[in-house]
Amino acid sequence: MTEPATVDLQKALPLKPQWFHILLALSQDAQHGSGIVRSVLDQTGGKLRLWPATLYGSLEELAQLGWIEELTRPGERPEGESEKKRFFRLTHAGKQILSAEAGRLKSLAQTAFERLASRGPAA
Amino acid sequence: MTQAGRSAYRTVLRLLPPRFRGEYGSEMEQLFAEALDAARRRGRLFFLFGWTRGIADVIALAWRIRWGRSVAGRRNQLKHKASSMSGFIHDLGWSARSIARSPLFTVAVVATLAIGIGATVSMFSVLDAAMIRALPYPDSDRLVYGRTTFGERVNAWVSYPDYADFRDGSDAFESLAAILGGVGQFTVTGDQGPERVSGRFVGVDFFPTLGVAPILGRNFTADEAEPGTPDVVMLSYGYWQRRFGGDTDVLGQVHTVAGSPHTVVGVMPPRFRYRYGVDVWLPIRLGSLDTRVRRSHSWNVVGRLRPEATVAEAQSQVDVIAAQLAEAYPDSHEDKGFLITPLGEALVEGYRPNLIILMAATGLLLLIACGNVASLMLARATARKVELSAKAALGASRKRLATQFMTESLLLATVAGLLGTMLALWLQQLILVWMPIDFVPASEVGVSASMLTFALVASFGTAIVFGTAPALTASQASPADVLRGGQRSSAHGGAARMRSGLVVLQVALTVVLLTVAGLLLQSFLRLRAVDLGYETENLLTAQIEVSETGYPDRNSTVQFYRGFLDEVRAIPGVRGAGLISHTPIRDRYSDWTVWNPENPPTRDSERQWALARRVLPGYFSAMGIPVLRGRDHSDSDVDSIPSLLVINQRVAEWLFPGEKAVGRQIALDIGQSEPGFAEVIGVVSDVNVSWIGGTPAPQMYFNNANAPTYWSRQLNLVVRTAGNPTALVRPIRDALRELDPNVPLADIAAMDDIVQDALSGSRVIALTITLFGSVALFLAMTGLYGVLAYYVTRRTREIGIRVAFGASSGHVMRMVTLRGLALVVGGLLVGVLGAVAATRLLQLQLYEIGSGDPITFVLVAAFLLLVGMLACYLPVRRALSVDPVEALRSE
Repeated sequence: MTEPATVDLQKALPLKPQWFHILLALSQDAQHGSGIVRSVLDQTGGKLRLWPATLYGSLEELAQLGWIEELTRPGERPEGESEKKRFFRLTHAGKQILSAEAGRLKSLAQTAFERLASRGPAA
Repeated sequence: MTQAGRSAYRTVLRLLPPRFRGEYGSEMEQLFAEALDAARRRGRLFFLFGWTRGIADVIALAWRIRWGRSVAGRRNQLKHKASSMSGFIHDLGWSARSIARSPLFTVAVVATLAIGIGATVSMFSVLDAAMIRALPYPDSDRLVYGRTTFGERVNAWVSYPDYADFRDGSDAFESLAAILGGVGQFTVTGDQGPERVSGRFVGVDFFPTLGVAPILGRNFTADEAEPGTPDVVMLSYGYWQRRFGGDTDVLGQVHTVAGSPHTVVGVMPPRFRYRYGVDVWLPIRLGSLDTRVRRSHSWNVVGRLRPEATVAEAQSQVDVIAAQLAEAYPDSHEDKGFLITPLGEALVEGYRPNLIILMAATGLLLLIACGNVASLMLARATARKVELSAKAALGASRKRLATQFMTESLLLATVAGLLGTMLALWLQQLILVWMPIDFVPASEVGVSASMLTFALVASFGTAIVFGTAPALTASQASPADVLRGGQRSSAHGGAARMRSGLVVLQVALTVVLLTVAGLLLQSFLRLRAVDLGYETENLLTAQIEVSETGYPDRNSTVQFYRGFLDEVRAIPGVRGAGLISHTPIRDRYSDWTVWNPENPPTRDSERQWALARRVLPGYFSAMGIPVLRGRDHSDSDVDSIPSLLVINQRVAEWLFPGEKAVGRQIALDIGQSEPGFAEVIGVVSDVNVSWIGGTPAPQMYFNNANAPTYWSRQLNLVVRTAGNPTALVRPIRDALRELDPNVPLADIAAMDDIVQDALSGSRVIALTITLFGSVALFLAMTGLYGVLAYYVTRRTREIGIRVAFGASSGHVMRMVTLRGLALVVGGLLVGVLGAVAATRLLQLQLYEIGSGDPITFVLVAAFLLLVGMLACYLPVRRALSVDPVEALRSE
């Protein structure tokens, strides 16, 4: 595996939407490909379907960046799952970047609400 | 997903590098299968769309990985600044320079492709709006359309009592609402004088069923369906703005609609419409004639399924109710059913064939355009042979040369795709103006994500289709060529063969388009030549309606129309004038069941219907419809009992075969327990009153003066004029104003225009496909010319030697012409096979011509051969002018 890149968090933002959603899908538990697709569909109310090439292309890129990693040790994998399925989980760097992006979105939303409120009710 | 589907996807995955494929391939395949299954459940088009997305997705990834724009690539770029000029950027620069060097070539290629892509993208956008995109109502996937079936026959209209039974007996629907078929015209009177507005009668739960609430005021209430409650009206946003300037005080105001006062209770949101845009909506009044009669089918039914209910469940529930109705009313409901279809599918049914024909035709056109561009690129690759050989000699690999050419193709396609998409934004409006779709307003198709995705895929696909052959040829450049500088090389032969192959393909596609065009055009010409049974030239029509307040009883109404007709007949230039309830061709329906009372039918299915019309005396002579036996109505017949009736030949022959019809009685189903009776006083000849072409429908004409007063107030004027009919609009209007300034004249149209309108669908399709066919022919012939011209250039020396050894000019001519015709004939053979398959799908669109019409096929083939000969002419002339001495010296 290539060594993880050291990336300045702020320079990596904003994240591509599909990256954000994949990281978000992995934020709780380790998941495999179709689990991620389903989580992203849930997160977006069915609006964003990750097609296979987009998904695995992104997963590889995210792994190269060191934001996610594949579960390789036998004990880590959920029980009863097929050996063929690859499971991924968030790394420490991944958690940081996800939280940085969430913070960016939050402050953006904050600004929007403030501006709307300061204009008062529409005439 | 099927096994074939899986292996197809695996083939697509081969675009990815083997490492990536090995690592993720099987999981991607599994995921794709899941995504496709989800798409398939939503419909066949989603399934197709899923395939497109899935493939585009793989191509995009392959592109990213291979061109080194991945994260790793970007990182490496930063690390190794020295080699930062990645292959792609380098190729892009090279391509841009090379394209800029030949501006004429570039303009030709980009323009050809932009037109092809633009046409395809705009057609797709319209198709998407009509067939794929959801209807503009909330949760529109739960909306369904209900229709009556009689055995195999599907009828869009439903009878109100049937509808009420289906509504009350089934729990699959959240609501099931009725709307009176067709758009009505009403007179609104107020301070600004009378105005004709369009309106529809809807069930009080119609808007909630669609899920749309008024933006101002309220919906109709359940009480407002009951007779005797105050009359209310809802306005469309457009009418509210136009007539009331968007004033919110309009709520509660009382306006006179169709002669009686109505209170405005609500305004619907902007852009809300159901199929047609109308100005006002009025609630259905229960107890009116149309809501009582089980045999009268005049309603459309729209329903909303419960969230958990499916169309199949709803269908099986209404099937049970239909079976109960069949038991209760064996006479009329024996084979009658109720069909539930998703609303979107039902609405698009009538447009689907034309949309698919046009989409296929534009796709073919784009392919032909690709053929031409490929041919041009091949010619260029040949011309740049020295450059390519030099590169090969300097160590460029075959892959590298091919890649550079492919990059050039992609660059051209991208530019053309951008221009084409802009063109498409305008073209899609044009398509909808030419070929209106009632539920897709032209003003509302804009840019959509699916349109842009399609444009992207089309551009890339185009680049691959036209770029592959040149790239392969370029990769065959051999280092030795630059040294040899000779004319013949393997790359040459390969390019020439590919160009010939392209011409064969182009000719084949042209044959398909021209054959389809030929059939559609003949069908259209036959429709246009149909004799309706009356002259449509110099015939003016208009709608007229008097109000209930001004003309409360039959006498005043009858007097008014008689007086009006006399005034119109007195206008100079008027040859004849008549009044009828339904303008021919434009107002199509309204039929009654009739039978011969001396020979009553035993079962409902044996009864027949006839179109019912109300006329004033003189209608037949104004139209020029001959009265064959008996006489026309007369003003003195008003009080006769039973009512008097003029029928057409078809009714006469069918009710009284071989007998005299005049003087006989006819029984009519008037929606009561006992039938009504009328006496035949005349028989007129058969004419087409509803549809153009086909056997004229059974028709009967009542005297308007005998009709119930509430019907007889609305009539259509027909005026036979000596000259241009529209010149008489003013004097007719003046005459009307003098009689009563409160009566408006609406929907003024020349009969010719009404006929043109009715034919516009077939005309648009026929002309568009003919246009496409002509462009395809031009492109194919340009391709043929290019190939032959190049052939002659390459053989100049050979021709010179042959001439030097005494070959006659006839021999040289044959040599070139046969070469060209071989290509045309090859294309013809392939094309005819394609055309046989394509035209078979066309049969339902054709009028009085078979889809396999041999004359059309022969004519198209002969025409192509002839034009092919013409394309040979210039190259032949050049070949004949070869001077043997010059030709031999030049080497």
